[in-house]
Amino acid sequence: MMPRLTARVSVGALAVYAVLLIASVVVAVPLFYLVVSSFKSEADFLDSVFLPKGDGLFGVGWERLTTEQFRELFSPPIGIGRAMLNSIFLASVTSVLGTLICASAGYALAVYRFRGRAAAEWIVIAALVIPPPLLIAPSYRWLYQLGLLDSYWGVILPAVAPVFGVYLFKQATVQSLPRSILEAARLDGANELSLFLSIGLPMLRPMVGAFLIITFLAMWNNFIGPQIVLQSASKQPLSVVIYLTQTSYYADYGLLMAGTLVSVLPVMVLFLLLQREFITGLTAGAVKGE
Amino acid sequence: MADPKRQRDVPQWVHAFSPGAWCIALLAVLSSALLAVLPESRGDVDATMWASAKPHYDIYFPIVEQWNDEPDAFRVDVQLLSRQVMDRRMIGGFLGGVPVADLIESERSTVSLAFAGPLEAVGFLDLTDRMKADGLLDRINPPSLSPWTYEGRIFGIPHDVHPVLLGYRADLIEAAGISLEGVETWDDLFEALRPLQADQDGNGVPDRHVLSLWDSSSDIINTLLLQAGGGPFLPDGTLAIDRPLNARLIAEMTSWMVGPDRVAADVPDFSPGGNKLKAQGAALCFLMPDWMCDIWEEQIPQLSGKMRLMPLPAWEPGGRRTSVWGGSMLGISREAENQEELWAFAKRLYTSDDLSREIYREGAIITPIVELWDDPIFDEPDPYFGGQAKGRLYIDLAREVPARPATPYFTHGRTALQQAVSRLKSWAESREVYDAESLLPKAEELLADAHEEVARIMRRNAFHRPDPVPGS
Repeated sequence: MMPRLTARVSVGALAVYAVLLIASVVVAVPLFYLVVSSFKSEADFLDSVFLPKGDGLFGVGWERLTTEQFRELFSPPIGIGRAMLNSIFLASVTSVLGTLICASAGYALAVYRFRGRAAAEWIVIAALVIPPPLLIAPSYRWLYQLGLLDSYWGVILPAVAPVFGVYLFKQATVQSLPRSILEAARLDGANELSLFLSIGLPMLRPMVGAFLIITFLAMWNNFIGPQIVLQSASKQPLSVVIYLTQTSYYADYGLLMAGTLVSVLPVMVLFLLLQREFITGLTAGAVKGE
Repeated sequence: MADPKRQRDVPQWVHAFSPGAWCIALLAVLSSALLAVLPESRGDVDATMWASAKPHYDIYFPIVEQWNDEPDAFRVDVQLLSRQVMDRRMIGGFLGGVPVADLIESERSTVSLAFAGPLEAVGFLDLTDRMKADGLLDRINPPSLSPWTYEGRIFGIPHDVHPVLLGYRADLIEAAGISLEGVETWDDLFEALRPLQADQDGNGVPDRHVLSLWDSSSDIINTLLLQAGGGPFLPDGTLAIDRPLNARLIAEMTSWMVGPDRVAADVPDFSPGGNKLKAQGAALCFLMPDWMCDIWEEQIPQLSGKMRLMPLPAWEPGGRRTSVWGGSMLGISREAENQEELWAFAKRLYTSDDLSREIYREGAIITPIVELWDDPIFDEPDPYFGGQAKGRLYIDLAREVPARPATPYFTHGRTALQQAVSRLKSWAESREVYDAESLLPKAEELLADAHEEVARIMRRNAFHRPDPVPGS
């Protein structure tokens, strides 16, 4: 059996595997560095690139690895547990609301012919070119006038209807939802809400998955918004709390690495759960016209 | 196998979402429920305080929490903000009427932004009369008040003095049989330590240099200028980048950084790379304000017992043996309610002997309250510095720290001076001009440009014009 199997592995495939292996190493090394550094003391962080040198197995000082940084992270005054809850809340609520709103808005623009539709589309496209930092100051003033400063909703509301999402869902609807199916369902007596929920959304499933993870990640990593809008320490998300463990003059690198690891893990798990939809969503329409 | 009949009972829209999507929806529900039942960590408070220095926050947090638990306490919520965010929120609050904390503790670069207009527009409460009435003015080290004194009025209680000493690698210097006892000036120091600059491994590059100083280190350049009485501004806030003293000082400093016999090296502060170079002995001497001691002890523990402190070498015999680097204050928002309670809280926080001991123990920072300098804690030997009583060494020079003006343009001035040094260094290297005397004319030319650059920015502000407007 072995010779036949070997014969089937071409040189080209081997080259591809070699490139992929190198790429995997390039991706894995920083991650390994992050994990190892989060268990090292301050002195070992500077003295060794990866594991601390010592007399243990493989010449590693295993006994010098420490979980002190994690203890510090989860204890007051940092208390990263609360920050994690805040991040989960902000990211999950924003992504769910954002996906529903963008999906329905994009669906409406793609499916219905109504007065002002062209203008609405132009507004969506025009809004795409406005750099988000330009909106910080006016948004802050609005949030102040609405009494939403230092509230979670002050962070969530401006993020639940991104024009990018509306445009994305509009295009996805145009490409993956044949109008004939909607017409047939209407003839069968389906109302417009049923059409959206029973036909539109299931047909857009890959885009729903991809957009959920995009918005989840965007809010999870949002740093400027929460810092400006949220003032109470107890409401700050992970990104801000981890940043605040450092100062201009002092950086506890072990703590920083441990905090980064804690903030990366939930997102990695989520990505593993949604990776199929994410990839399908992003590549949807890529082969149109073939 | 799934029951097809049961599958038919599930609404179609349920299939629009993958298991991962349902996980996110579940997270949204669970986290909402948890946040709804979890109490706010601080509960009701009477005032909020912003701090931008994490080491300060770490010290205040447990103490203020204790105070908050006292019967009839004036409860204060201490919040940590990054400097950039505090800058924007503070100015937004002072000028735009959006909410701002009742108490703000911040560094000079943030606080000075509030001094951009007329006296009545400063967002901080004028504390001058309160400080006089309570006798606080006489208890504070006078130069420490200068960065918070605008138009003769004081807007904050100083947190620190931040005198600067010279930290040096005693292990390497003593091993070479060199003593720094007779060193009085920078020239003396370079002369004494020049033998240690030898190229031991024969690769054509000295293994170590005497001083950590580079054209990119604006803080060190500024600290050295202040030591000699130079700097971008006069004590009254007048722009004076182009004064002859500055030209002489930057020409001298640049001569330390260029040429085959240069004595300065680029050993950055606050970075892993810089810390590694320090541990390896790439430089022998460092400018060390009091707060820097704590950073070294935390970040470079392997140098414990190998470092010593001494007064800065003077620029001229008999000159000043210290300087100043950094500084924070605690101010009260002018719009805050409960101003008397806030004043009482601020005084307690900044003048309590317990807290000053804690700040020294945790952050190596000397209090500006002169009467507390007699505390025995400042005489305790520090093993990191070979058993020297570092607190006493800093206190001995605390009264001599140079005064600094409260101007919103000091960052501009400091950067312009640093860039002038950088340009002078490049010019010196390109023309192989290495002595201070020959660098002087170019230094004067570059400082004139730097002065004009900052003056142009200041002219936009009617309250800070560096020179009379023609025709006015």
